[in-house]
Amino acid sequence: MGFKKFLAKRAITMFGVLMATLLVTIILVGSNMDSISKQSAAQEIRQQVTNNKSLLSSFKTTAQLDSYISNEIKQRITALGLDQPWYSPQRIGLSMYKILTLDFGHAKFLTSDSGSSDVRDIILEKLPRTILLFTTATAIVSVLGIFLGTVAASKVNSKIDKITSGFAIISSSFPVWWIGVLMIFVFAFLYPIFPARATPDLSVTDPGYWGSLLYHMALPLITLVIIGFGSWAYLVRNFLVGVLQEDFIMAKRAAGIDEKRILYSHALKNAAPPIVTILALSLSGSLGGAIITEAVFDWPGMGRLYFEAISVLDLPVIIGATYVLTAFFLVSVFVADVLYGYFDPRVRRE
Amino acid sequence: MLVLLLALFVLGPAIVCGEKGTNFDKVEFIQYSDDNTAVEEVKNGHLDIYYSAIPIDRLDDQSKQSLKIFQSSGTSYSLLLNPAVSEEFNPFSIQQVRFALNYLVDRDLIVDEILNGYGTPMISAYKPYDPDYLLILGELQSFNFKHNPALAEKIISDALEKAGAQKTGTTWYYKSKPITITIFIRNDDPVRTSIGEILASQLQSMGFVVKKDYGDLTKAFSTVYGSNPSDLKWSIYTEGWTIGGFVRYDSVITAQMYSPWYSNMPGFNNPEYWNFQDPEADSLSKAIFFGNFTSPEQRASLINQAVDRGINDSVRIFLACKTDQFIANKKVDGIINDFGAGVTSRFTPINARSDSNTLTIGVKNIYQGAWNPIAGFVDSSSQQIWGAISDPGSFKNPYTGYTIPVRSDWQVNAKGPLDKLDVPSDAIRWDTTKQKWVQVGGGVKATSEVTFHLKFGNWHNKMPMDMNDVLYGIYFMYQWGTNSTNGTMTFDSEYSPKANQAAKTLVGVRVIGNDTIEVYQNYWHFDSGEIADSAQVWPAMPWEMLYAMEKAVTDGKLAFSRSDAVSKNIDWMSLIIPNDAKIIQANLEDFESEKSIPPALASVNNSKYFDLRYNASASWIAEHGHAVVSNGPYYLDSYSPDARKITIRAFDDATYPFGAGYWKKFEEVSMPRIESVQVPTSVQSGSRLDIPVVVTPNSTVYYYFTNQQGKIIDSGKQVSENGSMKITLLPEKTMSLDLGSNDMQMFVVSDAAYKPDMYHSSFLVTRGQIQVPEDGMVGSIVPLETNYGYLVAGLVFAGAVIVVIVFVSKKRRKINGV
Repeated sequence: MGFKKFLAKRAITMFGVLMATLLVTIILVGSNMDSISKQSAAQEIRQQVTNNKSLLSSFKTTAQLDSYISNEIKQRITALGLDQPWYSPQRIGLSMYKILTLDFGHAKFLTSDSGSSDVRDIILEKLPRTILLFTTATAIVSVLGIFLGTVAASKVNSKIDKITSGFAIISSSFPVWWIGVLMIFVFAFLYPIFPARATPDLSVTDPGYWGSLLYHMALPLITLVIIGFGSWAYLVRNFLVGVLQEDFIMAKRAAGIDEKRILYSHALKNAAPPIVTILALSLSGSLGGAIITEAVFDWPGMGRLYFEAISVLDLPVIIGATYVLTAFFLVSVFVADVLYGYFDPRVRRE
Repeated sequence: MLVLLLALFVLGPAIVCGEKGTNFDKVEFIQYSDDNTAVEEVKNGHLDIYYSAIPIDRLDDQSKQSLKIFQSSGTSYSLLLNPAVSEEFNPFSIQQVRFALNYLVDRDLIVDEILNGYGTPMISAYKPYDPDYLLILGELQSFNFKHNPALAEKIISDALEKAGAQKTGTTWYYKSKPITITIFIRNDDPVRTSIGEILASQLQSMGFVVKKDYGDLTKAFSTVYGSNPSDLKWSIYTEGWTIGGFVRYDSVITAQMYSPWYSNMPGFNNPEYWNFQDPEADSLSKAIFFGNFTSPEQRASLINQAVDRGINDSVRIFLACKTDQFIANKKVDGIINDFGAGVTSRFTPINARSDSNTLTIGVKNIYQGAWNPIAGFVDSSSQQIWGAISDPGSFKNPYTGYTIPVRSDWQVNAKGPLDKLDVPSDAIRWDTTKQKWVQVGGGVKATSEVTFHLKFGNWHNKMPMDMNDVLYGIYFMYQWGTNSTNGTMTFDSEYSPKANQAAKTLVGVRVIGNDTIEVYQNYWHFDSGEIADSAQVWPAMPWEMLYAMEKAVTDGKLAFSRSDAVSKNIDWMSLIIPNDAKIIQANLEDFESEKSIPPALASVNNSKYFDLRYNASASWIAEHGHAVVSNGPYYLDSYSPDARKITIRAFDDATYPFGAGYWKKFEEVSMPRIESVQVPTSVQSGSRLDIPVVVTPNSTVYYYFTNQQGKIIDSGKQVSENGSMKITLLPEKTMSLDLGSNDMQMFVVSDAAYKPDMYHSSFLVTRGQIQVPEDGMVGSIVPLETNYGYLVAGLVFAGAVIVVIVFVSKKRRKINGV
């Protein structure tokens, strides 16, 4: 089968996976959420009425109060679209069609900082922030990790190899958010080198904003890199150690090719497919952010958005975010497949 | 001439700059989501105050030394019991079993161990810091609930045996089946998790089979609120209640916590479910809720009866309320700790002061919901900032809950709950059909009349406030309070029903001066401040802003409420958001160019006036990028979503009626305190007992003496001007006390602050002269010995492990080397 045919088949499969994921999300979340959302709406309205003393004083009979509350509940349920069952064409069919055109509708509770309730606006506001911090960190981690891993692989059992391996185990044992809290304590309070908040306190129109932004995000970026690059280096080191033991490497050495060239041009290229796969998955995974890390550093990214959407049962935002992240994941897998073919001619020939 | 120059030199800045009503020039609200970071920032001075309660365990002793800590009532905790009758035996369907839990739960343990001392026990829905708590003190004392598992077991055993249950071994059985209880424990709250775990083990020790079901609110919606109680998916639910505000006369709490009609008791009035019924509780709480009383005494009696009923029903058992802590940097003075809102009171940014010109306040969230005065400001973040930007006509005293004048003074004329007074025929109301103001005509009556003298000044856009702003607000309520759309677009699904209710109470208004208006309404309360508060007409925004907002909504571009925004797929109007502000600005510019006159102000014959108003507000929006214009001591300067920061600046204007420090009186309130109580260790039965007490001057002391059975033997009330007093128990009263330990409880309150200080002690009643040993004679001091044995053993073990590792690795190297 030609490579092009292979890619086309992959693309179709991935589209199917995307639609299936969406449908499953809607089925799982929608079915449970309806009754909970109705209960929640009813309770919220009762609480609002209870807290509004001047409104309460206007009711003269129980019937008036009950009628008011039940009308409010009905209005709220209709407004939230809960008067239609989750499997109704309006909710599920139309939703699926609209989502294909990237129209995720309007959020029920959340808004963007610019005041828009359009889910697309909300996601487009949070996604760049996540990319700026987490994806950048992932990119730095992978570059550092590949370099260090390569060095460690070329000097197996040396001090640098042992330090790399040890550091990888230690750094991956600690949760990022906990290290984040420690880093803030040490480098923002004990030795005030960095600000405690990752968000700059200048407006985006201010000329010094970008410099301030880089300065403010330095601490979370350093934290993410410190935690992440160790395990990356360890993985690369292990892949390369396996490749360096292959016969063709021995043949290259016997042919008198420079060791550095063998390492970077031949061994690394052969170890590239799994590295590229992990890189693609890491980059797409970084787009989901990290809920607790974002909370610790006060970084308003996709992780926090997801958490808030689930907390308030904002279904359009949950579906929109799931769709976007799944789409990115599938695209990254697709790109990894293409790169796999580039690095491994056997895949192209198959 | 020289005098004039001197006057100009001294007064000039004040004339040019106006007079601001605040000590700070600027207040910055900055988002800090993480409590730990916020605490450190307050300590190092980057933040002055943090507007979120800090959990008890986050503040160590060192932190407490370097910070100002303000305590406020926080969450209260209760148990909801399922009293449903079902096919399966439910022990909580028996009232005595439910009631016995009041002796089984250890409220002191909850306060001391789970809340680390930062809390107060509760046995009723009223917290000790609720103003109405003082009305029910005697009633609560009569219950004398104390942790007494033996008594609880006895009550439960008697009740279960009477119902036909049998205890075999250590387990209760009913018709050969073990009696099972399911506790739904809210595990998203560590306090409630602990409460649930402790109760579960206590009930297990009583002989019940206890199942623990863990979940958060989402699961509770399904298991507790969303299931038929007779299905017995839950037997006990650990509840938590956040404070709804410090209110002087709470008309709803007995209905909400004890009465089935309010739909907050098991069954929740779902017609398909089994529902808890108590007609007497309903009747009592309805009388309180709907104000069916004619005097404070009658209201107090109703509350006592309702609380008594609720505690006896024991469907909802209250346990404790938490004390929240707010922190501030030590350099900031003048923080007002409202009994309801805590330090987040509107008076804090207005009254606070320090050496700096800027007050920096940390908040957990900077933007949670839309900013509009109709159906926005639903979240605490926006409310806290809006409170500093917009002055109300009246507000609540932060320490007593009484209504106090702010931008209006008033006189109230009420004929009492049953009589009515005549409404002048030229009083007006807005007719939504005719779209004009109409006179109410002759023969109309109302329950009360309030004459408001309004303290107008300038709006933030420098336009003078006037009666048109007041009338437009009244028009708005009528117009948008229609029952149905009536073919107009002036309907909002959230706001309109509320406005409709309010419009039913309002009879009419009469403008009798540039700043004086009479309001006639069908509302009565024995406290005239409540009548005035109910009739309040003070405007929050200029009329032209409301007009422009109306047009934005009727044009379908924005919605006042979230519900309408969601159902119509449009944005929820938020005046702080530039896009929405531009829509308002465009409308204002259209009004100016079209010489538009709103129907509510059709009688105003001055086109220049309208132009000035439209232009001023449109220019404000053009300059500031938002449409938030009000009349408070601060104005909104900027909102920066990227920086997650909102800045407000002092409104320097000569027309602003209050100078800086006007609200200082709230700093100077002295809280009632018990300074000393000398209760003797023992007293002879039949002899007189004198207890010297020292409290803060002008306080009222309530005292109760109870015997071992919890019966009140004597109680009383004393007031002292200088704070010194003597509580005396006469010989005939001491003779009524039991031999042995008896209790004395004391509460001290003052009219300036409804937060009682409490004291509790025990003393012995003896017959004849008995020498009670002094403290320390029976004690012994045991020297603390640190056992180093475990440490040594640990070190030896670790050393052995290291030696083994080194030995094994050396051996491996040798083998590899061969």
